[in-house]
Amino acid sequence: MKVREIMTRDVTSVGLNDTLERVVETCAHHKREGVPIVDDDNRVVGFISAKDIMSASLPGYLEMLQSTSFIPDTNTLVRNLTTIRSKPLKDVLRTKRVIKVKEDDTALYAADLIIKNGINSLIVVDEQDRLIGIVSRVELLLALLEGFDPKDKNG
Amino acid sequence: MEVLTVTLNPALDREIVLKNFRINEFHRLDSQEKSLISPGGKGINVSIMLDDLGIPSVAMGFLGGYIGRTIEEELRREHKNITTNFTYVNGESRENITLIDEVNQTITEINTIGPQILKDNMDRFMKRYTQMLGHAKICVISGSIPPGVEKDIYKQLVLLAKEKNVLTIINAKDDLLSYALEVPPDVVKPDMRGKRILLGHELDSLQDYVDSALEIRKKGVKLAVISHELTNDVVATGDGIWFFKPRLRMATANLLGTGDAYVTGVVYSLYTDNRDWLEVAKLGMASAMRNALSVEKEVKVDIEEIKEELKNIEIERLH
Repeated sequence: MKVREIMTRDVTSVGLNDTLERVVETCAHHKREGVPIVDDDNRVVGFISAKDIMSASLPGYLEMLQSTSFIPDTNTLVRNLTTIRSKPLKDVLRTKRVIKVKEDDTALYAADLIIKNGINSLIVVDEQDRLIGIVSRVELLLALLEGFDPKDKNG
Repeated sequence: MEVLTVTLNPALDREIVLKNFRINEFHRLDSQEKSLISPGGKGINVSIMLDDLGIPSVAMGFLGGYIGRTIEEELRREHKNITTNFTYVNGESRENITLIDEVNQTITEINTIGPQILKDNMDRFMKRYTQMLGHAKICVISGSIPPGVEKDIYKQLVLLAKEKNVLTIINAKDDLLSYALEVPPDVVKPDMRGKRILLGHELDSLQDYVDSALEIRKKGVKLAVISHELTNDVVATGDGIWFFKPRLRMATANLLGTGDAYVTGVVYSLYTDNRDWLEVAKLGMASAMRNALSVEKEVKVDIEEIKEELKNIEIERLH
């Protein structure tokens, strides 16, 4: 089974000049935990998730402690989020490796990437690195449950 | 992705088939098959028909609310060759409800209005559209516009496409089309349902159609197709004006969706690198005629079935 058979052909994305508020809205509208970031030519330059925005709105030390129970009060979170809501992505995003697959990669390879990197979804790009879709964890599991043939060595 | 389809005002088509429909009475359907939903809107219909022919396309436009999400999910679930790239807005997408009474042979339609489009929504759409044009070859712009969108929007879209050398096909009513003609688009198929008005003139005699075709051609359009008496076409290319007529009478009840099928045939032809505009028009008409063989809005056909219809087109030169 190949990525092309399980991917969602949707190219919803944001740009580096979009605000964090726009990212949150886009995620909400599309019921996603994150969206790919593309340049003017639709080439993938990053990925931003709701989790990234949460981290950006928390004081740095809390991320180190890996717990929100240390937040002084909810107001701190709201205040920080309000400060950064209209900032463009490029000012907030920390450089991160983007995890991408191609249509012809196997579903098992995609599953492996998702598990190893602990991520919710993978970006699918064409030969020119342009966004052509995504594979989410749930879709991958569904596809594997429905269509995986154990005899298929290419998996 | 070589084909883009733009549907600024998509709809969810809901068809309810019942017996003895009566106003002010309670009706219960006896099976789920009596209530069918499908994504609609002219550009989306073209994407769906292209999918059946194995041609991938990117569908763009505005979607809103629960209905919007249903349109998108249905498109994705049923059509593997369609990539979605919709801009979400507040409010609900249109729903077109058709009540079909099998016994009394009546059709009752209720269409809701689309969501209000704000400037910010439009800016986001334009950004996505420009991004997509970068790697497109053909762009189909079809149908009506939702509230809040400027009347000259199709002109703006065609201008941007021309900058990127993307072929444009417009299938819309005269009021939206006339602005776009100023650019102009490559292929024009005016939506003449309801009114026989083109470039502000009412069309009556065949000569009126020829005159309009000449006027459109003068603006630089490579192929103009004007429906004449429902089933015939007046076709204008750089080489002349032709009258296209199906050899057999077509049932007018089956004409729903034939305009979109026509555009699909045109796209197929251009996608396979045909630039003989008369041949392009022939495949368009063959596709519309194949579609009209059955009553459903969309009929799954292959290209050979469409080409079978080519022999049933009568062509006469008018100018």
